[in-house]
Amino acid sequence: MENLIEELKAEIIEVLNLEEMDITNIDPDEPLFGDKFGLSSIDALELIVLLERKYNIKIESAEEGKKIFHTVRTMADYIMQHSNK
Amino acid sequence: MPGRVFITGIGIISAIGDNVAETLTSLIIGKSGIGKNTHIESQYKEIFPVGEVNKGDHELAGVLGINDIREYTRTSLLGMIAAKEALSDAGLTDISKAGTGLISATSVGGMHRSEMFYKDFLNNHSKGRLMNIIHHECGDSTEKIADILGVKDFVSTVSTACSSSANSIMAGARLIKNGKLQRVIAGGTDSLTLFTINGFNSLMILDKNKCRPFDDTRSGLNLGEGAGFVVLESEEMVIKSGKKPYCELKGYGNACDAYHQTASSPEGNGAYLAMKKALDMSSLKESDIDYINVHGTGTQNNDLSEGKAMLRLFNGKVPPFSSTKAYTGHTLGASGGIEAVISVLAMKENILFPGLHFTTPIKELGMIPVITVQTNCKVNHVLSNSFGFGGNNSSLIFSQS
Amino acid sequence: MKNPLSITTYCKIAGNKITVNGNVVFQGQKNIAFPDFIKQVYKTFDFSYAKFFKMDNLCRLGFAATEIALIETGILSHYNEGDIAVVIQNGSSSIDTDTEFRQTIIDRDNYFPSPGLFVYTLPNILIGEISIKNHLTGESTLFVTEKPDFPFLHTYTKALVQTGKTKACIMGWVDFDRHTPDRNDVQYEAFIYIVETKENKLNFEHTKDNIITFYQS
Repeated sequence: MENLIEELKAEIIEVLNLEEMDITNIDPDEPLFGDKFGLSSIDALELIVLLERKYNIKIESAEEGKKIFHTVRTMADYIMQHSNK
Repeated sequence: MPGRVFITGIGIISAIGDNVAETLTSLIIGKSGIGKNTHIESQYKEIFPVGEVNKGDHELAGVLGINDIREYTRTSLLGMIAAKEALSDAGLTDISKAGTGLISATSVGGMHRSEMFYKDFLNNHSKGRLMNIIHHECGDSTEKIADILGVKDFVSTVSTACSSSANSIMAGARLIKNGKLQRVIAGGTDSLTLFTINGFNSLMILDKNKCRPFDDTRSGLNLGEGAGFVVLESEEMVIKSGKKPYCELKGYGNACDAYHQTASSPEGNGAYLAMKKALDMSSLKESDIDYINVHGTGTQNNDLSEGKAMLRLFNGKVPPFSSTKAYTGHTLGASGGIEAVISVLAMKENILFPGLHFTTPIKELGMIPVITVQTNCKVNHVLSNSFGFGGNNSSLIFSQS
Repeated sequence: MKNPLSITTYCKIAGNKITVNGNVVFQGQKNIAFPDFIKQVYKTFDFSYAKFFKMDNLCRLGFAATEIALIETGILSHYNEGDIAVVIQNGSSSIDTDTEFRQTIIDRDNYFPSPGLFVYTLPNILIGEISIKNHLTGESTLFVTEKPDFPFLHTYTKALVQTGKTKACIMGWVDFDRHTPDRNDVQYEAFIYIVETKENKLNFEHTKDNIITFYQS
């Protein structure tokens, strides 16, 4: 699980162009869509693409995505639960 | 003191008709043009309905008397048909006698054809017909329209997403008011492409059903295609020719929402500012507006923020309004031009066109659009909204003298 | 009513070099690629704006030129947010990002359309980014033309000011053209100039000749 969290942090930085961050800046329990990262609705959609491309998990709507992407840890939990492929 | 600018001709082609007469018939009988996509081989063919122009590229070329379509993209053909109709409608046969310009708009340009090239090219770099990509740029469709109309004095292209052709009309009016030109054919054209179908789907704002603008259950937009142009003429030209114009372009406004690349601010700040600027310029009161042709794409975000802006501007007393995108689909760069023509038709016929597919008002707004066609209405002043990605918001006000 | 207009600053970015009012303010290495060059610019001018890194090349280019010009003039504190207009001309639309986005949809076996790229497949998003950062709610538009048409921009600026639509204008030509799918062969250029109705420290008369001279310098 911890490996997945570290892996996710690196993926998020790359996919969302968080140029000024590195994985030590990201607290796995900090809200991703709070003030710290300045993420927008487009970033949430990119995370949906990430989940499908890398983990083969399809998310049908942006609303569903909102809950899953609350923190890095909730993302990791979701992937662990749904990644049986 | 800048003079007045009038609309003397209109031309249109979209999913609801190939010309003004067919468009008006569809509007009156409530016939939506949204249905299954037939011209593009997309994996979403069975999933997302679109507002497609009925004719294929060869048929469109046939209308123009063009035999060899290799030089012409679908965007060009649509634009040429609508612009030609507008010029003819204005009764203009020789435009060389007065300074005449063309300002067109597009978002996809020749993308439809370049997609055909790219697919072949990617599989094998020696394949792919170059003729399919040399007309890709935005300016190409404008040049083709200028050529067929014979416009030489001034030609330009606006590209501001979904407000593009409304901005063309504003820019055209400005050139006339500044005495640079006497006449401008202004509007825009866009065709359906894999690029936009896939792109809008990646933003998750396409509806799998026919769109329901301003409805509480709305779940996105339907893409459309088409072209809409108006002929703008100076007061001097109108007096000289003795013709009766459709209406005056009495006011316009553009403002930036400055909030997000593609979403509108929750309170619709840019929309409010654009509408207010147009109203202030027209010297009309809020209560003078007889009909609003709203941007009304059917997305959760646009309709709510546009509705809030309208409630704020009209102090809760919003005039009759509707989105005609449930008829045509969202025609992107062409929408401002297409909806300008529809606004002119509303005034000409004294008819209010309905917002199709509407059943339940948005909870936060409680606003109900025109539901069935209303005839014999006083429609003297119409406000038309076009709001584009990038927060570019434009509003036009048309007035019958 | 007469509205005397002046150009109060201009910034040009081309060939990995930045000039402001004709003076070189930054020279990047000539042989480095644009993305690396523009990151150096970001750091050197300390934009401190994380959203910069979500932008595409066209937006980063235009944004950088505008930010540098804005710092120079201080116009943001002289005018209300609704009184600053933005009018840009561009030649290649968003071809750079269009090409990138198409890569994400063309292969059925590796089909992952990127919303973050799609958002930038419109050249006017550049104006959106400038406006979001600086909270500009005035008029804006973008014209696609083969080459910069400064006489037209000159007329347009006058029209906006004389009809009371705006009191200051951010004007210019921003283009990012690329010739091959693998992004090695790009041609970019940004020329932003600020026009004001108030006097500022640098005042060149707003004439077509001046605009052309500054662009060519």
